[in-house]
Amino acid sequence: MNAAGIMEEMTKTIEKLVKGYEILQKIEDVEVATTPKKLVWQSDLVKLYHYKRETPATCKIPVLVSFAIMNRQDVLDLQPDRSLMKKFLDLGLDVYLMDWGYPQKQHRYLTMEDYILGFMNDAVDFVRKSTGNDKIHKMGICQGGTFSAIYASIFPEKLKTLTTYVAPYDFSGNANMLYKWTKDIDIDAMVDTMGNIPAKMIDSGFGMLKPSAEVSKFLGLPEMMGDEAKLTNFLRMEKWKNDCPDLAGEMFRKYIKDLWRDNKLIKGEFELGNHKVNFKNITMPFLNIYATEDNIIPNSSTTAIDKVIGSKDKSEHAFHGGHIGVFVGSKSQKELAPMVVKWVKDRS
Amino acid sequence: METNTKNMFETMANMQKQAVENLTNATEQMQKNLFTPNMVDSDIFKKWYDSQMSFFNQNKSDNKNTANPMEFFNTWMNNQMETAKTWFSNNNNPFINNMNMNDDMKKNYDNMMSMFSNWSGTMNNTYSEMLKNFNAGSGKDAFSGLFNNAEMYMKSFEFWMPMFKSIQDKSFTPETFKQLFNAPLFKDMMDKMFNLQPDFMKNMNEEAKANMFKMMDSNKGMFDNMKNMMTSNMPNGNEMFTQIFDNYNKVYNSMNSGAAPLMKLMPQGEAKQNIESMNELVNEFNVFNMKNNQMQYMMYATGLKAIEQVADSISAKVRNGEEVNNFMSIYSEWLAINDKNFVTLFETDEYSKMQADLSSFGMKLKRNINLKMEKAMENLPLINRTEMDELYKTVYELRKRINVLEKQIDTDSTETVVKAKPVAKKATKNS
Repeated sequence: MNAAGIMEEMTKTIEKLVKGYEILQKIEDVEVATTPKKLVWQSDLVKLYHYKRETPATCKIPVLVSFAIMNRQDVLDLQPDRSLMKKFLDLGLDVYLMDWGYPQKQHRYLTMEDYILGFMNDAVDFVRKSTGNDKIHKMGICQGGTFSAIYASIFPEKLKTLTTYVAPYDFSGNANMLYKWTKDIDIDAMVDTMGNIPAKMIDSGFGMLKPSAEVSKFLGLPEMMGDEAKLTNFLRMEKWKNDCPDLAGEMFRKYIKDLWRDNKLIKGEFELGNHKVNFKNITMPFLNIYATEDNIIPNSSTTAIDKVIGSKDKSEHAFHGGHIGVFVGSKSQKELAPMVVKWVKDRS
Repeated sequence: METNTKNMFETMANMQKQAVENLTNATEQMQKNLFTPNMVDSDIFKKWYDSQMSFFNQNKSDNKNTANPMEFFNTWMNNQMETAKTWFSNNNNPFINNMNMNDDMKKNYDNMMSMFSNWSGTMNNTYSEMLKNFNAGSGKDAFSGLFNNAEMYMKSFEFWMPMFKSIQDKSFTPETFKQLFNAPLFKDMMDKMFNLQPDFMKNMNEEAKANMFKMMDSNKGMFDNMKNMMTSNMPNGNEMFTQIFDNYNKVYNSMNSGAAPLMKLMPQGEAKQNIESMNELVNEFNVFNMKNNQMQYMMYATGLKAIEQVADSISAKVRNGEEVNNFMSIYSEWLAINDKNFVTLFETDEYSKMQADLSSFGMKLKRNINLKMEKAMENLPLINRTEMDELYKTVYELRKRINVLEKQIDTDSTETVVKAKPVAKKATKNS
């Protein structure tokens, strides 16, 4: 390490910036969620899409997928070669996807009841009726998995199977510091003051699980500049990550207080509308997927449901990867998706 | 593109001019204060500037080159890199000579940092301007992230720069670190990290921060005092802040007691209510600020602990005869150690409670300010937030009612065709 050497190292950083400027300025906005699909149902801000198939589905019972409300479902169709939705289509499924929308100020009063007993139930009914199936396959990812399990416990007669990916069920303990924070924070004051909860606030909270991530992820970016495919992959992921909807205030209040703070769901104490939610009522076949390197939802939180669920046909699958990798990573496309589709088809 | 190109040329030309002026001033100052007159030829910067400008002028009138501004810019950048490298490598450069004088390191410290700051500051400004040339979209976001990372990297580089010489000749010790610890730069680095935190942490009280670091900066020898105060007070239940709170409450209560007889003389009415509510608001604001400072203190103390660990790690490597060949390894180690320390902090009960308190005070303050604003503007023909919330609630309830009625119609209908909303109807027919 000498004066000239360190100066050169620093100026190289500047050079990388210049190169980044040159290449990034030439790139038009990247596109995500390009697999063809059709809007088939809408209620207020929530939409339901049906993916177009070129050939008839080999599995006649359709699959309805719900993603987390706090992120966009576009990540399930990030790019053609990293698209869980496209993979499901290729493997013969008939796929519907919920889009929870972007809550505006007027949506602050939407509750968990509205989301699960209203939007999700209406979407399920639409798919059942429009395809002529009494029961459909339900899949849910992360928070969408938790909501799907709650739904399944209330309307078991409408579902053929339930599959959840990296879904939190048990919010006890300190395995996730965010669970701990919700024990202290005054949720009522937040909702009463702000109405909807800003996406930035939620994103910052998750960001504190690894504070340097927003800086360190750019360390490798200059090296990607010569590889357009890698660079556009990075940009698509960034586009998705920066596209977070605000959360409807009343939904947030109940979700955080009852589930995160008081952990009522796994204890069988959670109530939704007039329903007491009991996982024993989930009797359809259940596939529970968790990611061994998940730094957002602890494995213990996901696997806790297995002890309290009513299903006799239940399977647990450990995916060797992280929270996002479970539905985006190449291993997910190559290994996990075929396994899931086979599991679903075997029960159709 | 033509406009962007023009903007870029103008931006760079201005920045270059500014850089040269800053560097020339800094060098002249350095000559006056420390070095033998004429030891540094400040004309070197004039020549540099002239050559850069002639390059600009040539390219401005050259359609071939302006058609590809980045090609031009790369050439310019390479040119500048070479200049910088030559400048810093020059054996006759007193800057480098003095870096070799271990006993005079502190003497040169401020001048060296001043010059580096000017140079890197100019670069940062240039790139901030460049960002404006982007259209909105993924490229802009990524460049922004890249730029922020580079800025963070350069801040860190600047912080460690005075210590490189001792790392190189393996004389670096924790004592060297303490001697050359730069509090304002450390603050800048921490602030860059704080930008990643929630809004209520971003909105820290600038004045309080400035005061805290004025104390830290007033004498670099105070590093130990500051460190000891920070690290010893924090685990002992935040005694310092508890004391501040107690004192504030005493003053606030005394003031209220003192004003009580006067308030009794005032007739009941709007004016009295306004005074009381403003008094309450000021109190809430002060309490929030004190909590905020306490949170900042916790963050800076953790950052300090982390960077000391990095220094210890470097010192251990030096002791073991290991080479520290590049700055990126120091930077990466700092990020990793920082993460470890901050996550440990975030997982503590103290942090969780502190954050909850701060959030609660912040929300209360925001709510009261909103209400006061509504009150202040109640005579204007404006719809306020409370009224809008009531309207939203009504719309929400009506929408729910409509949903129930629609479902009843569906149930009552004898039609077997799926009854859905207009979009769905159309889609069903076409699918």
